[in-house]
Amino acid sequence: MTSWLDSLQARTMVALVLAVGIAHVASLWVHQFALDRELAQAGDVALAERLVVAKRAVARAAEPDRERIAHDLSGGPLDMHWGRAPLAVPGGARESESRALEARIVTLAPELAEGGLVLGAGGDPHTLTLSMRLPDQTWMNVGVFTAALNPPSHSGALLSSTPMVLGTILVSLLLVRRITRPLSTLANAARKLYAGGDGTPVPETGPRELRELSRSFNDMQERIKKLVETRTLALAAVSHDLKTPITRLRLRLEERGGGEAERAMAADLLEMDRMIDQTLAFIRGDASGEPFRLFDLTALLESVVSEAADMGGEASLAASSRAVAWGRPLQYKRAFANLVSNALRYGKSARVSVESGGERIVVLVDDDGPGIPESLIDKVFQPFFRVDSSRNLATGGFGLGLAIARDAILEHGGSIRLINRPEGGLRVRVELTADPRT
Amino acid sequence: MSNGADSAHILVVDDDVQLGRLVAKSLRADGYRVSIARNGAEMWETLRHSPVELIVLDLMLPGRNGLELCKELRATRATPIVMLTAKGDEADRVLGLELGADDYLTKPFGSRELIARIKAVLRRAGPDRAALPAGAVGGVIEFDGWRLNTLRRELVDPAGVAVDLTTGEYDLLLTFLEAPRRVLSREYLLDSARNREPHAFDRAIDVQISRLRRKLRSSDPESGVIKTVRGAGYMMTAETKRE
Repeated sequence: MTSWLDSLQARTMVALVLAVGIAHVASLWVHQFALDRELAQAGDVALAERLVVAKRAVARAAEPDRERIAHDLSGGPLDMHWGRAPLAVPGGARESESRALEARIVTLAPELAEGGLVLGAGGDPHTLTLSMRLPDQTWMNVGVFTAALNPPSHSGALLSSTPMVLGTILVSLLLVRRITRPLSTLANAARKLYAGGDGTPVPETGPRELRELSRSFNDMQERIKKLVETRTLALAAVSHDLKTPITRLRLRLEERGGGEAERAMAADLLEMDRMIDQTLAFIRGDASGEPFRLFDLTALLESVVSEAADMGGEASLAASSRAVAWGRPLQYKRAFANLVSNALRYGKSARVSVESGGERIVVLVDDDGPGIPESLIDKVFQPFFRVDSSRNLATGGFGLGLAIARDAILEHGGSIRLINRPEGGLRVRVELTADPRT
Repeated sequence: MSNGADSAHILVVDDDVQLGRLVAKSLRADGYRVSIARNGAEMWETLRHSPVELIVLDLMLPGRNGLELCKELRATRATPIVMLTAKGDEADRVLGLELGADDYLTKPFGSRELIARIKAVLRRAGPDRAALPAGAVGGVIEFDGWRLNTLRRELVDPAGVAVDLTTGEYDLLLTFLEAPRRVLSREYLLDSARNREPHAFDRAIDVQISRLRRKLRSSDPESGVIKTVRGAGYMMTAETKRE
């Protein structure tokens, strides 16, 4: 099946064109056939009548006038003369045709055969000669120009009805398009639903089956939306409600003073809080309505690195110049904070550098860890994936940091890549859209 | 760290009774007088009977009670409000600030952060705060072409580019902006712009200052926006304008 014939619309149209075309040709043929018969019949009647009239007129006239009258009655396909002998010779080249004509006109006007009727080939291939004996034993000789008897069937019918048929097909095509359009709309809506669209219901239009399909689709979409919303809300509520007991625990710990166990517990609480934040960020898609704006990426990275360093991490930033970017700063901050905290967690240090040039800004986050086995480099972006589950559990973390960072960067039209540096350690390479005004 | 006899009266509004008690306890330990309310009705009751200098208001997830209370409060009085929120509630937080809250704390917070926030808000509110008309506080501070939105804790440079600040840098900048053209000692800065992360190392104030200068892109200690005054401290040289 060729591609253009692949759509329902094209196939319906082809079926329609074929059906209408065949019906058109067949009816034209039937029509033409009937018309031809009708015309032939009319020609025979006219011929028979003229012959009868001529025969009577000539028979009544006086002999000297007969040739003149016969001549006067000639015209069209008939050339009539009066004589004492028949000129027609039976048989000859066109015997069957002359017999048939004889039979037809005699049936129509039996009077013609009274006295005697002879038909035979004429002087040239297009004529027949017909001889009728008059009551006084003289003859009327008639040359019949047979080609002129039956007027040629004209093709006017074909010419005038073809535009009509084409018009019909065109109108039908438009109708087919109208009928099948809801299907395309539906397909688009289904695609959007998959891609996380807003779940706008598709209009329930078109023929009944399509309306039913659209309605079912809308119902399904609504149910999926509700399900996702409910689950997201439930997860968010749980994560959110954990914040209050964590706050209580933290305040209680502070009351107890700063022993080693208390410090460890405080660190555990911090870790729990971070995991909750990550889960919330992941299930909410993080952006939560933050508008796009111009922001100082270097300052943002400075904040991330300063905060990590203040927490005791070995983090540093190298920026050649100030990089201004276009996007959601909070979302970016969370993404880079995740990358830096991963580097500190698995790679002991985080060296961030920014290079801006032209349209793009490149941010590198290097660490001094063991890197990631090449075979796992694509998998680490999957939520909840752990390179080494035992190590990951020991150091905390949820397996969401990279997934959140990647989602944020891809949403901004950027790219993120993990590279094992040849000299050891992992490099995260992020490319972002720079200030669109420069 | 006692606030003495003239210590402020703080009202803690929280539906979580235990959290309310814990917050009250740490505030009392710091010398404040504290009342607790579990809901709006109790809050109004307390407000009717005694003057309150500051309200700590939990936004609470189920329902929007906190936000509504915040709005109702602002409609009638200028008492400073510090909101307690969860980190995910950025939309709620911004809404709360726009409804008239003065500041916010994200859960989980420690008592040190809480007290630092409350001190800062009380200091900003000043003794005449109660006399101010509702809605006259907060907003945007302009200096040298830069704009600091204290509701959103957002700094924008003269070209309209948002510049991110850490909590420490924000507090420091705000302290400078509230006392323009005044020499501030290290001790004063450290006390009022204390780093709120209890697990963080307390960086020397000089480190914070140099970070802030870098963000403001005026690193020169002699002629920059934040000038070093040898032997005395630092001074904000720019004119400030409140909107």
